[in-house]
Amino acid sequence: MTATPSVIVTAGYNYSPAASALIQLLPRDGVRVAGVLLVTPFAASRVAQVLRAKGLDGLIAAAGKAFGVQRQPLTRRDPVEAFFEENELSTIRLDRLARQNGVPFARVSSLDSNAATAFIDSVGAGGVLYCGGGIVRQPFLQHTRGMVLNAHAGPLPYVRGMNAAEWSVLFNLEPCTTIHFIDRGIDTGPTVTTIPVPIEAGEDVHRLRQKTVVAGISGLRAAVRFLGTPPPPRSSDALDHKQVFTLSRAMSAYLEKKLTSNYSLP
Amino acid sequence: MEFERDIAGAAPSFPESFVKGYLGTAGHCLNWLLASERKSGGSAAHATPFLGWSRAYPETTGYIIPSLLDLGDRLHDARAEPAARRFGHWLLSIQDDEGYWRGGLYPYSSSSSSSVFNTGQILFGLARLAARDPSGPWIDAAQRGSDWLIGGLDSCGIWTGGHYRGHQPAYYTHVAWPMLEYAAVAGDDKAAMAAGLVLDGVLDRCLANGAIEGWGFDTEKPSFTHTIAYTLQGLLESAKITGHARWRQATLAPMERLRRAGELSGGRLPGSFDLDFRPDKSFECPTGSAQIALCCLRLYEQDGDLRWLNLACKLADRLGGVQTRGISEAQRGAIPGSVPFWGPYMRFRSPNWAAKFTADAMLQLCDALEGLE
Repeated sequence: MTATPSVIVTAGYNYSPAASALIQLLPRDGVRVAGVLLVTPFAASRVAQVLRAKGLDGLIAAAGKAFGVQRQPLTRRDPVEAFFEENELSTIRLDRLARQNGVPFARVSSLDSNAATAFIDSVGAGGVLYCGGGIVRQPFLQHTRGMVLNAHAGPLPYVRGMNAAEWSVLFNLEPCTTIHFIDRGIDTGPTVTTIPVPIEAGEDVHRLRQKTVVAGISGLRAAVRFLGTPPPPRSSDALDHKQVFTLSRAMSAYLEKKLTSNYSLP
Repeated sequence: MEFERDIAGAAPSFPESFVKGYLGTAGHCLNWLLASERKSGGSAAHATPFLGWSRAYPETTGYIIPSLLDLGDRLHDARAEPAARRFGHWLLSIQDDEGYWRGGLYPYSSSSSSSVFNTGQILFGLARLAARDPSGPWIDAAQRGSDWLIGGLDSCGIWTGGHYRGHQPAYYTHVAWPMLEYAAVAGDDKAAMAAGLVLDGVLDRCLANGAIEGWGFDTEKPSFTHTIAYTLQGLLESAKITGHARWRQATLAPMERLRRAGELSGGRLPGSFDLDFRPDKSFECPTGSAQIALCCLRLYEQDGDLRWLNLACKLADRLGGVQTRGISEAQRGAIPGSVPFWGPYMRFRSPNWAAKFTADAMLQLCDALEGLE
């Protein structure tokens, strides 16, 4: 890493709170945001992927997210909203935020596209903070020299894959956010740090997810120092733990019931 | 599948809304299966739009019997058990003197001959009726069927004849399983040993990636999930009955591959796979999806891993979504052979075994969800 560390921040939609917060917070830590890579959520392949994996409901939810629409009314103060207020962060769209701060910005169809890798090469950052944009593959990892950090919403290597916060609760594991390097597997890369996300009484799934986002922002912010140093070794049992996928409707309802029934770890 | 929402649009209650929805699907299957009964006896193999019901199919009539009994018990439907008994009596009436049942639809064609697989599937029904009614005629008929099966086996667990396509497929695990069901009811050790030979023979056909050679109708083509699931379910259920873990162990790698494919497709499991697990995503085989859901539920029951239950729920949601809501009784509640309807498995037809396996999956899923409370 150079004297002034620099990073690229990725995002999967223009209102990504994690990307937005990092773009604003990192300069306060003396870290230069060298670029923002936004993977357009409206690429046909992404729409098809969401439709296939999450159905029409999932697609509608994703579209709402992409347009910055909050679908579920919150019963208590939203942890992400509170974090933005406490840190005096702007909530404007990423493209405008980048323009305001003079940060190079690119909208790409995929992180592995030629446009994305050319952007990475041109800005010359020391690493990438991944805040969404789909599964990354070999071209992206090659051009970033493997210096890509992700905030995963569950304990690794035990809960690999999607809806990790939810699965943590279903597996009776303590919810947490794990900061790790991305490698070619699904959430199999070396772990840097783990941040506990304790569940409060009466908490719902949405709020739990929001808390993992906040923990992820703080975790990635602190983990920038690991970029440029050799990553720790991958956990030897990383692949022993089966991947998880999105929750079915019945499992989601079961989880809500579990959480609202004065959930506590066994 | 539709779940009730309250007027405020709140999430469905757990497990009540889901159980109600899944039992609703099972109830439609039951009505359809009851409507499939032919005047001359047995359940029609399939229904086709415009052409209606086909002739009766002894093989699947046999394994529909346990489903009818379970559906009747769970849904408190008094029509189910008498229908199951009528099916049973009809099967006894067409059993060959040597103990076997012939392949194909009834009335039989002139080319129809003794069938290992069909005889095995009929054992499911007779064993269940015997367990419920020990003084009835069921156990004797089942014993004659089982003895015929044992008599045709060589020392390696291979049947010397009675095959559907001239070879012994791996899905004959689904013959070994009903032999074990019968053996448990009758205390017939010979049948249990013979079934064990067949199952161990299938283990020799497991490939390094978990696929099992010969688990399709045709060795040269990708296999429908229906026959893949026959193979896996036969191993899993036999392991459960006997406690032999090696048969269950053989299912774990292929089930993991299928879980991944089912999850990535949001419950729209591709209809066939080749031996490298390359999927054919152009169609779904709902029969196979229902059977894979049953395998997931069995694994969940044994290891408590909610990942299996999650996929079972997604597959069940999809099955509820493809159930036909037609106005004719031959279509209302039917489960199509393929989605889309013109897909390669049972093209343009709704088989009775699709309704059977869907109903079985729904009932077992409801038990699992209620057990989570």
